[in-house]
Amino acid sequence: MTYELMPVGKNYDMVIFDGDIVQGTWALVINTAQLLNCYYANSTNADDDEFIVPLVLGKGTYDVHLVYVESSNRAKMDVSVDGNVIINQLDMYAAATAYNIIHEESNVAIGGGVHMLSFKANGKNAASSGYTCALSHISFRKVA
Amino acid sequence: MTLHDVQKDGTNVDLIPIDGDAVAGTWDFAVNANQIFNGYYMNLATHANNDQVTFPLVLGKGTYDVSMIYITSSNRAKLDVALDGNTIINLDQYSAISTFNVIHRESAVVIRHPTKTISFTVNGKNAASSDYYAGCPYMSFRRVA
Repeated sequence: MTYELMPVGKNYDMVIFDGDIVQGTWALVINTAQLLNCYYANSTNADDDEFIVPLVLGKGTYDVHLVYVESSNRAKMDVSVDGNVIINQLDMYAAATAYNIIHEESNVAIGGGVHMLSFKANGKNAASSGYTCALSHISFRKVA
Repeated sequence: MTLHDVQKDGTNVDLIPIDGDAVAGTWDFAVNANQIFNGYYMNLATHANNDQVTFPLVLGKGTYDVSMIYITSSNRAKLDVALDGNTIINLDQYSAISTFNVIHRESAVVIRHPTKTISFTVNGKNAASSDYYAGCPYMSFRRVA
């Protein structure tokens, strides 16, 4: 039996496959090379493409891990909670495509309650050809 | 800790159905590279009306957006999704052409009491469907209020 029971304030894992679209077209893409066999990406490939998902956490300090795909057409991406940027312009560009890249952001303070988590393209590396974001998973691991 | 302590502020809960408690029928996981998580959980052997499987699922009181992801096909049933016996969604999984990773969202589902169990029950089928195969969707409960 596998299920997730999440007491308030403990770890939370989110599979990124669906959200409320603020800008652009976002869809699930199957890829057997990637964690969970898929990623969620903006086919519109435009700056400021954004989607949001509700997020409920207990008050605390978290280590945040984001799993994504880097490639030559990638954007820089902001991740924010209620408008406060917690991952600032994560540069997802790489000359060669690489799967299952993990970014860790340590000691992120988040208040308790219902929040809105946003993922938004915000600029790009000079070498990048586009503004695509490709994500699979984000986890919040409570450390304090 | 009691059920009321757990998620009293509400917490998003994801359910990846891979091994439930079968109430009726036989439910198994099948690998398929076209589907999220590389597979699906389905009443493959029995594919009969009223097949049912349950999972423990604790949700706090609150209002949730429920997203689910599943496969449609020409031999699919309708599936009731219920929390502690109260049906919240009836999902027609039929389509003339098989489609993977179909997303259905049910917005603003109000849960008035903490829940203990989620059940998936085959409940009829579309007139055009040829059988009662039903896949348990991956479920994501995201609290919004």
